[in-house]
Amino acid sequence: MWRRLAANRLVLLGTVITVVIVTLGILAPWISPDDYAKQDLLSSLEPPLSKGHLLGTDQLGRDTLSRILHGIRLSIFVGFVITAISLFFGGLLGLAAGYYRGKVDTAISAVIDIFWGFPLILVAVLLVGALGPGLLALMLAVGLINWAGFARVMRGEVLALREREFVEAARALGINDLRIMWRHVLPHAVPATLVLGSYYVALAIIFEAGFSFIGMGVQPPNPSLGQMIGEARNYMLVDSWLMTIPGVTIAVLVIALNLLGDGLRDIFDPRLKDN
Amino acid sequence: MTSRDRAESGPDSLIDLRGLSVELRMRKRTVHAVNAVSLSLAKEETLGLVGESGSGKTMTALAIMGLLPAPFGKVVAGEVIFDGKDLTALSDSELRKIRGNQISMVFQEPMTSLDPLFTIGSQIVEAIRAHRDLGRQEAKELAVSMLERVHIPSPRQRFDSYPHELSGGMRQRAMIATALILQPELLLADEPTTALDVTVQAQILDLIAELKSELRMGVLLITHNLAVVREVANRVAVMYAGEIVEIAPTERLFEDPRHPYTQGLILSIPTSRRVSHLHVIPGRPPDLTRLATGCPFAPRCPYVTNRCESEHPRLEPVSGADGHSFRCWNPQAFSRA
Repeated sequence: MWRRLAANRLVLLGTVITVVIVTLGILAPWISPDDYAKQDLLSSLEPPLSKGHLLGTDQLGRDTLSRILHGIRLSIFVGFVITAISLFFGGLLGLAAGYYRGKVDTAISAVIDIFWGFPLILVAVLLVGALGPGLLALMLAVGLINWAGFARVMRGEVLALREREFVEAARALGINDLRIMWRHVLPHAVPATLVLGSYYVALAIIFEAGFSFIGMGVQPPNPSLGQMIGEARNYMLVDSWLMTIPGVTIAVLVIALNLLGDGLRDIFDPRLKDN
Repeated sequence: MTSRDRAESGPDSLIDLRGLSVELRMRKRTVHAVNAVSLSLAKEETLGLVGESGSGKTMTALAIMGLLPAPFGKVVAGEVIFDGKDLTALSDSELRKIRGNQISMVFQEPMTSLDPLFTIGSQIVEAIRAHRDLGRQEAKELAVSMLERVHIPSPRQRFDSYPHELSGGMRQRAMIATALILQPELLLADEPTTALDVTVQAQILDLIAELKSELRMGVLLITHNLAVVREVANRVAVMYAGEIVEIAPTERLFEDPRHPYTQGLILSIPTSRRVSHLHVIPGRPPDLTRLATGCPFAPRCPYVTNRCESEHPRLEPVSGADGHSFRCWNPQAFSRA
C-alpha cells in the first residue's frame, strides 16, 4: 500500500503535506513561539520575517505563526472529529439498512433522505440560533448532514456485498448476522468509506473556515483560520499578509487532503491498479 | 397433500419436502419459483436435482436452508420436515443452529464463496466455533485434519493460505471442508462443479461421493449437467418451471424417461456418436410470473395435445416401476434416434 501511495508524485505530495500539517497542528501548544492570545499593541501589524515574529503580527500585535498553528489544530480537530463521529453513526445505520433491507432499510433510508435534503448552511444557522455561535453548533450542523452521506455510501456498498457469495456461504454455515457484518461485510466496505471520509474532512475544514469567517463559528480569542481571514479583511490594503497566510494555509491543507483522497481511491480501486 | 406424498416418506427418510412452494415477490410481479414440490431424501442417498437455469433448483435448496433472498423470497405453502421439525416454521436463530451443523451447502463459485480477506483456516475455524464450544487450538487441529481429508496437500501450510493463493479446485475442496467440518447429515451441493475444469470436476465429484459414504450423509446434488448426475446420483428429480416433472432411480430415468422434457434433456447430452448436431429443445422456459393453467412445458412440447394446454397434469407413478413418477398427459416411448 505504501509503495503504491508513493508511486504517484501528486499523491505522495498530498500525503506528505497532510502529515506535516497535521503534525504541526497537533504539536501547536508546544511548538508555538508565543501565546496565541497575547496582545502587544506596540508591535501590531508587523510584516513577516520581523524580529521575534516569523510570520508577523496582527492588528492587536498577536503572533501570526502561533495563531496559524492553533488555527490548524482547530481545523484538524473539527475536520477529523466530526468526520469520525459521523462516519461511526452513518456507517452503522448504513450497514444496518443495507444488510437487513426490507422495513429497516425503508425506515433508515427515509431518515437519511430527510437529513441529506437539508442545506448545510440552513441547519448551521438554525443551530447557531438555538445554541449560540461557537464550535458546538458548527460541529453539530456538519455532523447532522455528513452522517447521511456516509450512511448512503455504506448502504450502497453493503447492499452489493450482502449478495456476494462468501456472505451467503457464511450464512449457510450458520454464522450469526452480527459476526457476518463485522467480519465479512464491514471490512470490504472500508475502502469506499475511507475515500469519502478524506473528502469529508476537507469539506468540514472549509465549512468551519467559512462559518468562522462570517463570525458564527469559533469565537475570539480562540484562533481559527477562517476567523483570521475575516478579521484581516479590514486590513487588506494595509497588510495583505495577514489575510494571505491563513488563506494559503487552508488552500494547501484542503488540496493536500483531496490529493490524499484521490490516492486512496486509486489504491483501493482494483480497476485502476496498473495505471 | 395426497396419500402418495405421505407414503413416499419412509422411516429412513432424512428430509421431506411436502408441497413446497416458493414465491419471489417483487414490487410489481410475483415469480412462482417453486411450485408444490414434494421430495424425499433417504439417509445416505444422493438425489440429483436437474433442470435448466431458473427452473427452481437453487430456490428449493435455499428454501430448505431458510436462506431465500430477503426480502422477496417467501415459502408460501408446504413444509420441509427435517429431524422431526418443519424447517419453514423455525425462527432464524433456530435455523442458524442447523445450518452448517446438520445441513450444509456448497455453492457454485469456489472463486467467490470464500472471503478473500481471511485465510482458509480462519474461515473453517469460524464455522466450527459458530456451533461448537472449542478452543482455538482444538478447532485448528480439527480444521487441519479436515483439509487433509479433502485431499489438500500440506494442509498445515494451506491452513494459513488466502483464497487467492489456491486454484479453483483447491478452493472448492476448501469450501467442502468448511461445509462438512461438523459432519452434517445433509449436504446441499448447488452446482458444485460447474465452475471447474472438466478434470477437476471429476475429482470433486469423487471427493463428494467419498465423503458421503465416510460421513454417511445424504446429498442433494443440484446441477444442470445430466452426465454428472448419472455418475453419482441414486435417484434423479427433473425440475421444470418450478415443479418436478419426473423423478426416478437414476438408471431407470436414463433407460426409460417418460416426460418429453426429460427425453429432450437426455437427447441433448453430447455423445461420441452424436457430435455433428446437438439436439436442442425448442423454445424458452416459461415466464414464471404468469403460469398458464395447462402444462408449463406445453408450448415447447413436440407431443402437445389440447388437454395439455387446458389442464395441469399431475405427478403420477409409473405402474410396475417403483419410485418412478412423471407429469404428462401424452407420454411417448423414448427412442434415442
